[in-house]
Amino acid sequence: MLNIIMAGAGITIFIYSMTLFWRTYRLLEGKKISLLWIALAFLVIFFLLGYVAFEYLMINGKEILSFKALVSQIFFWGAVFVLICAKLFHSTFIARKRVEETLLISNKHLQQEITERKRAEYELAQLKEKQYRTLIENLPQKVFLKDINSIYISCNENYASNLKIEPKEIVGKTDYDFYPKELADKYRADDLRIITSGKTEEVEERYSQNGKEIFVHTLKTCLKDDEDRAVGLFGLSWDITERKHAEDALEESLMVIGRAKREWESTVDSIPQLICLIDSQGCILRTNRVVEQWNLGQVVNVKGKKLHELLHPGCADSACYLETFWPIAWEKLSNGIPTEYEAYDKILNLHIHIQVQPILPGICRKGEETASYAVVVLLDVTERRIAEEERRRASELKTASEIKSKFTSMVSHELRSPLGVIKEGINLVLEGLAGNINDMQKDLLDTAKRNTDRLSRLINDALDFDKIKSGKMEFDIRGNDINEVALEVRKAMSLLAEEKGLDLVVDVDDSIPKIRFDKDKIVQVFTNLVDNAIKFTEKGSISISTKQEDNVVHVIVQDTGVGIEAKDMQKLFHAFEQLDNIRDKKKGGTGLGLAISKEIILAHKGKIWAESEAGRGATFHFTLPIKERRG
Amino acid sequence: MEKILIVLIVDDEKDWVQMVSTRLKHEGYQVGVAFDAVQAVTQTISLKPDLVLLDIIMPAGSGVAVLEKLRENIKTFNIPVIVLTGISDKQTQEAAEKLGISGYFVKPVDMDKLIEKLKEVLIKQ
Repeated sequence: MLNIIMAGAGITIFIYSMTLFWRTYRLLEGKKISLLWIALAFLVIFFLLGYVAFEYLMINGKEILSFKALVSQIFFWGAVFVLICAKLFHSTFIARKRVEETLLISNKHLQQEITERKRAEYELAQLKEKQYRTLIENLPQKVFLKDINSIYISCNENYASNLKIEPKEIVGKTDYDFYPKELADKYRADDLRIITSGKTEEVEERYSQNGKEIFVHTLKTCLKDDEDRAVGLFGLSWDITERKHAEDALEESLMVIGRAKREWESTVDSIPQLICLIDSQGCILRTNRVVEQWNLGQVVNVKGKKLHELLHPGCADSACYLETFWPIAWEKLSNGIPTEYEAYDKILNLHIHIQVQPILPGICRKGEETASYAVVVLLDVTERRIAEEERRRASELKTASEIKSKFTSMVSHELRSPLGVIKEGINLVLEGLAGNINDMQKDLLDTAKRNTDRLSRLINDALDFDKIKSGKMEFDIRGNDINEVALEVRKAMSLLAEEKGLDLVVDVDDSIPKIRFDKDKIVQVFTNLVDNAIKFTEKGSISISTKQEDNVVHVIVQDTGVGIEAKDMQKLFHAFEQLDNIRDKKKGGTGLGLAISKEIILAHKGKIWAESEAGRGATFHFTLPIKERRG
Repeated sequence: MEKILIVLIVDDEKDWVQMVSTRLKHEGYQVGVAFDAVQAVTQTISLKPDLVLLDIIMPAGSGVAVLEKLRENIKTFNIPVIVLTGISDKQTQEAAEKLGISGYFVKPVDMDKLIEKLKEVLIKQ
């Protein structure tokens, strides 16, 4: 029984071994198949041996235990051995197979991957190349590539067309093929330098092409491989003529603008007025340089300040005109009305004229629609004011003087007529034409007559003086004999001198020629001097003398009277200067006689003066030119 | 018989006229008076004076205008005229002298000188 079980087990194991072989065979896929076959042959032999043995035993029906057992044992253990072999075999192959398979698969994948990457890389490279080409071709700049020997490798269309060739033709050429030697030398040198140094260089060059000036900007850079070795040169150049022109134009315009700005600034700065640009709040944005003068030379930051702060630093008076005028001015300004304002600035001690003008909309800053600024012009009108004041005063004085003159003239004329009547009336009565008069009546009438004479003289003198002063005195200048005048005067005055018991002596120089003068006026001067001499002399004599001196006739009227005090000498010839009023009035003087005499003599281009000492008489001199000086 | 000479005094200042006429009458002249420019002309024509004492400024016209009229009139053109006026400016004097006058006196006048001149002119006549 045991044998049967073992045989059965052997058979089962055998079958199982067979399957394992089979599976191994499948696994081997034809490789090392011979080994398998040997194993299989062994198996079959063992099996057959076992089977034969088994059959033999079964046939004999005898059980040879030892043999049977041996056979079955052999069979069994052979089967087991085969099984183990098969299993080992199988396992080994399976493992190897698996490794192989895995390797194979991964290898396959790897290979695939590598292939794909390579393709991708290639495609990418192709794309890049294409892009690069496209880029280079489409660059507006001129592009070229050279190798380290400065030989062209490629260039773009722009570069080629500039050299009038096809891009392909450039390969293998050098600069010497296209440019003059000098230029090519320079390029070659540049290239070598860049290749040697490995740096990038940029240069701007100027050419003359077809008579036009062309500016080119060139960038050259060294091309390097992965190991940082120079392999060539990449060049990029573009025409910057337009840019240059634009730059030049810009520079020109900037210069023009700058010049215009400077011109305008210096114009504004040289205006003597203080000009301020002011915003609606009254804050200053800008001023011209006059502000320095107004601030006593201090350069101040004007921006943002108010006029009041600027001109009255430290002043806290909020009622200052510079503060108060602004709101009103701005209000007017917003209605388009410019304002003017004038004030006396107590702090600056100046009269200031302020003009406020709206700024034209065109000058508005960006984004502003309406004028928010005003121009305020401050002018120091102090001098003008003073001048105006002076003019006004002068004008007033002139008017006053004119009025006085008219008044004098009018009054004098109006006085003359009634005076003439009074005088004539007195004369008629005195002469007895209105019947006889007694002594007392005569005395009184004499006094009246004397006073009318005095009044008459005063009026005449006043009129004369006024005429002289206003330049209306007319002179009738003709050839006259001064000695004749002296004698006439003596004749006229002798009665007066006699009345006072004075001698009136005349000493004339006969050699004096006729000279040109207004006889009436000189008689007037003469009479005035002699009259004064008689008036102020109580005893002694009056002497009149004439003599010829260098080109002048010298007339001297000398008296032995009271004389003139030194302090009075200066005002002697001034109008209305009576030296001793009370005494002079008694003498019937007008205070104008000497002033008129002086004017008359001056009008004749002569001189008049006096010499005297108090108590020792006085000497009056005047000269007249012998030959009238012309011009 | 000696002819009585007639002097016409032309002046708007009546007081003055009175004084002058008194004086002239005393000197033996017959005196006529006129107080304005119109009267001056009419009186000269009617009185036919031997001499006219003529003022310049007066109502109804100036003495120069009167003088002009007298010189234009055949009856009066040769009557001597002495100007006696308050005006002393040269233009007036020249204007009068152009029309022919025998003297020019400015007020206030020295009456003796005036009389002297008057006599001188009348003697010439």
